[in-house]
This record gives sequence, C-alpha cells and structure tokens, in this order.
Amino acid sequence: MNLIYVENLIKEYHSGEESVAAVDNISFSIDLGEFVAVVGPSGSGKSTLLTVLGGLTHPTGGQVVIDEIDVYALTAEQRADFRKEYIGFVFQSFHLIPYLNVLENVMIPLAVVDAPGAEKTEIALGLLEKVSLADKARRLPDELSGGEQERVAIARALVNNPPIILADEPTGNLDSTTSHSIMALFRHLNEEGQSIVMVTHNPENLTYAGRFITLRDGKIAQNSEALKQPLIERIPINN
Amino acid sequence: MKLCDISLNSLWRRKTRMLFLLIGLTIAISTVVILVNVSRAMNADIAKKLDEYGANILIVPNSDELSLSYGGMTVSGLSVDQKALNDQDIQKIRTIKNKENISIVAPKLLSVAEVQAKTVMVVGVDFDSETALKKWWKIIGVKPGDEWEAIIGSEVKQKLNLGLNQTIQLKGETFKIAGILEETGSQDDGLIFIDLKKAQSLFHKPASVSLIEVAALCYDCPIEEIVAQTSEKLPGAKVTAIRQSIETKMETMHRFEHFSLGISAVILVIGALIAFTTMSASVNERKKEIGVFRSIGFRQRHIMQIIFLEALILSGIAGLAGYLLGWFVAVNAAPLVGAETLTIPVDSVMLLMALGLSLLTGVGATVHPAVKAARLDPTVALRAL
Repeated sequence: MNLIYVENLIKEYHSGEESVAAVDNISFSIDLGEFVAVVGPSGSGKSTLLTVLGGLTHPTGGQVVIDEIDVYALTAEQRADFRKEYIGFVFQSFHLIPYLNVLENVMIPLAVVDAPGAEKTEIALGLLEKVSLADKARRLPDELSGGEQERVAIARALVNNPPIILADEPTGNLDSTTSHSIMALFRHLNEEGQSIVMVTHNPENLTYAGRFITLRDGKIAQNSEALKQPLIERIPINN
Repeated sequence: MKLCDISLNSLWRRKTRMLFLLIGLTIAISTVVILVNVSRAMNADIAKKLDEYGANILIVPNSDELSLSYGGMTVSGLSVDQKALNDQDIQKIRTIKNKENISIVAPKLLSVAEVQAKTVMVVGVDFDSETALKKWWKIIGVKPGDEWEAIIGSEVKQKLNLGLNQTIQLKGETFKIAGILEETGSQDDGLIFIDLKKAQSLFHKPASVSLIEVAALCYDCPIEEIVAQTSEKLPGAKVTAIRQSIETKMETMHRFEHFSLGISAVILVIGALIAFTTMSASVNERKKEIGVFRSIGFRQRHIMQIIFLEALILSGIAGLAGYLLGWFVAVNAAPLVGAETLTIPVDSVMLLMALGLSLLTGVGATVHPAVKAARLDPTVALRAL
C-alpha cells in the first residue's frame, strides 16, 4: 500500500535570473512500513526532497500525496496540522531546544495537543525508556552526548505517533560507534512497523535500509528494488 | 507541557536580556506613576492654596430690586428682607453631594450705619471664616475676640480719624476697634466689620444673611455641579460661580497635568522601543527554534502565543513593580515639590492604569516581532544556524 506517492516533483531555486532545479521532475512511491534511504552527493537535492516530503517547502511543480492527502493542496496552517499528525522530523544537528530538559523536549509536539499533563508525561517517559534515556529525563540537552541528543530527537519525532519519520543525515554529527547505535534504533523502529525516509551520505547506513533512492543533480539516478530483507541482516555490525 | 511552559522556560533562559527589558518597562511605568502622582499632589496642593485666596462661588438672595456693590461684584440689595438668606442656608451648603469640596463658607450681613455723622457700610462676618477666606488681610491689632470688638478698613480709619482700641458707636452701642486693616485696595478699606450674630441683633435682622461667599476646592471638582447642587439646596438664592477665578485656577492646575502627560507619553514610547528592540532581537536569535516548532506542527498562532505570553508575563511584572516603585518614589518626592501637606494613597485605579499601560506598551510593541516570528519560513528558519 502506497503511503507516499510523489509524481513529477520539481523544486527550483532562483538566484537572480538563474534558476536551479534542486529536485528535477522525479516520481516514486514508498509503501507503508518501508525504510528508504535517500542517498547522493552533496547538492543532489536530498535535503530539499525531504523538506518537500515533510510539507515544509512548497514545490515548484508536481504532487506529493501522503496517505491519499495531496499535501500541497492544503493551506499552510493545514499543513502544520498535517505535519503534527503524519510527520516526525529528525535533524542532523538534533535541533533540541536548549532551555528545555530532555523530557520537555520530547513533549514539545504535545504542547499543542489537548491532553492531560500526566498522560503527556507518561507518553514521553515511555519513549525515553525506548531510546534508553529515561534516567536522563531531567537533564538539559547540553549535558548529553551527541548520540544521546540524537536519541532525544528521535523520541521527540515519535511522540505524536506519526506514520512517517523523516530523518535528515541523522548520523552526520556522530562517531562511527554511535552512528551504528542510532541506525540500529531506526532499524528497530522500522521492524515495529514505522515508515522511515532517511537522507544520508554515509554508505554504511544503507545497510540498515530496505531500499535506497540515489539522487544526482536533482534526478533519480537509481531506485533500488525493495530488498527482501534489510542488508543489515547480511552484514554483521559490531555495536 | 503547554505553550506557557515554553514561554516561561524561554524567559528564564534569556533572563539577562529579559531583565533588561523588565527594568526598562518598570522604569517607564514607575516614571509615569511618579509623574501622575506628584502632579496630582501638586495640583491638589496648589488648588488648596489657591482656594485659600478667595471665594469662587457667590450666593445672594434671588432679587430683582435694589442692588449694591461689594468687592467689585454686584449683589442683591438690602431691602429684600423677605427673601434674605439665613443661618440655616449656611448649614445647607455643607450638605450638598460634593460637600467635601467645600473649603470655606463665609456669610455676611450688610447694613448701613451712621458713625460720626457719616454713613458707613457695616458688615457682619464670622471672623474665623472671613480671615481664612481673605488670607491677604493684614490686621494691625488683633482679630476680634468677642462681639463688642470690630475691625475697620484703612479708609474708615483715615476718614473718621480712628485708632486702635478706640471705640465707635453703632446704633447706640459701643464697639472697641480691635484691629485695623492695612490698605487692601478693595472695598474692604471702607467697611466696618463686626461679629455676624451681633450685627443680626443690632440691625434687627435675626438669623439673616445678605450674601455668602464660598471657597470650593476645585481640583477636578465640577464647579458647575457644585453651583447646581447648591442652587438645589437653596432654591431662594442665586448661586454664581466666579468664573474668571475658577478658570485661572483650573488653567494653572491643568498646566502641570499636561506637562506630566507629555513627559509620560515620551517615556512610554521609549519603553515601547525597548520592548520592541528586545523582542525583535529575541525572535532573531530564536529562528532555529521557531523552525523546529513549525516543522513539528505548531501553527502560526502557536508561535505568536509563545511570544505574546512572554511579553504578557514581563509586562505584568513590570506594571506591578513600576506602580509600587512609582508610588514609593512619589510618596517621598511629593514634599520636595512643595506638596508636603498631601498624602498619596495606594490607589487601585492607578494600579490598574499602570498594569494596563505596561501591558499596552509591552504587548503592543511585541505585535510586529510576534507576527514576524509566526511568518518565518520553517526551512529558512531551520537553516538559520
């Protein structure tokens, strides 16, 4: 079942009279429960594609349909509601709010959800448990390591229970060991049924994904067939 | 976790910058409170002092017959005894709705008597209220202590060749001259003043009064209303506001208020600029944070709510602190500007005004930064760092 359907997607940026197509007329689809890695060299349009998929950047042309919703037919405020319900973002530089503690950071998306405080806290603590950070719930982000901050960002992305996680270079700022640990967490979430689209330039990360799309100059250079089993199961990882 | 938790935590995180804004707004509000309080105290003090320098309301019997001149004013005549005012009318003046604005009530009975073969106007007065009303009187000798003593004007002294402690005969009764008025340049120079009660019995006009002069404390008092209220109480009398006197007093008093208002407006504008600059800088350094909020599903109004809540909290604290600081300074500064006789109470209306002004200034100045924050493109905001 198609969860994400992209058709003839174009995103151009203008600089003076010149226009550059960061995403150049691409089409693909992603099924529910897939773990797709988007790879390619710098400037190939990976991050732009991710922000367009997340309803953050209006495309120049084409269509993004998620769960049968034409995302860019929605108004800006409707797209905000859409993001709250459908999308969990994980950023390369974590983007945690420095003055909120770990628990509060995880609960941010719930600040605009009408639910009792205790219930929100319970959900957030449950997710911190899942990412093995429950004991650091009251710490501030700058008291955590990079890997721990990434885990907090993942917990925050999951707190609204969105069907899709969009991760932009989630291991870009992490050392090799921590990267594997984070990728293992993504794999675990995917095994639980979470759909994930991850932008990465790290070839090792591909081993965790079920499929990868290679972008070059805004076009799809390769759209791999869905692998019957993730590569990770065939490549031993020491972590 | 609610939006207000984000606002509170954000304020705490930026406490130095926000303290600067808080101090700026507090000083602005306290300055306004000081100016308003001190100018009010000064006005009240000036009003009080001005009112001690003469009457501003004249009450005479309603008559269209004879008239005579007194103190440069034309008043009803002496022959209208049936319509004359009386002692009870004096009491009634003190029962009007704005009675607390009535400072001095000085009744007078005007009569004519022969002294040393010359006709002189004799005025029965209550010496306490008369001397309170006419602060400019300089009495050589003393204020009469009993009903057999009189004060004479300088012209009477000269024309009748009288001196201190000499006696005069009025209607066959002897009065000792206890005091002589130094020249006033007014009609008082040609008058003989005796006790009102004595005058009433001497001229066979028991309880009768020819006219009443009233000094009303008219700081913000509606003089027309006092006139109307007095007229209502004294239907047989003609109550007139001495307009020129009142208008001059009001003009003097309101000059201080206008000055204070002008300074207050300038200070509030400065306070608003501080709030605007601080909140704009705060929004600029929080672009990434706003981008995160927007990417995880916050609507534009949620962003505005966070920013406005911060402004609301700071402005509320500044309003309260500004009022208390302003009140404290005003209480201590009032004597320095000559309003030593007046107290400045804690005024709930002024407190609400301070809070209102603070909120208006702080929140008003935050509208632009808040709207700007809400309209930030989330992807641009995320790329901010």
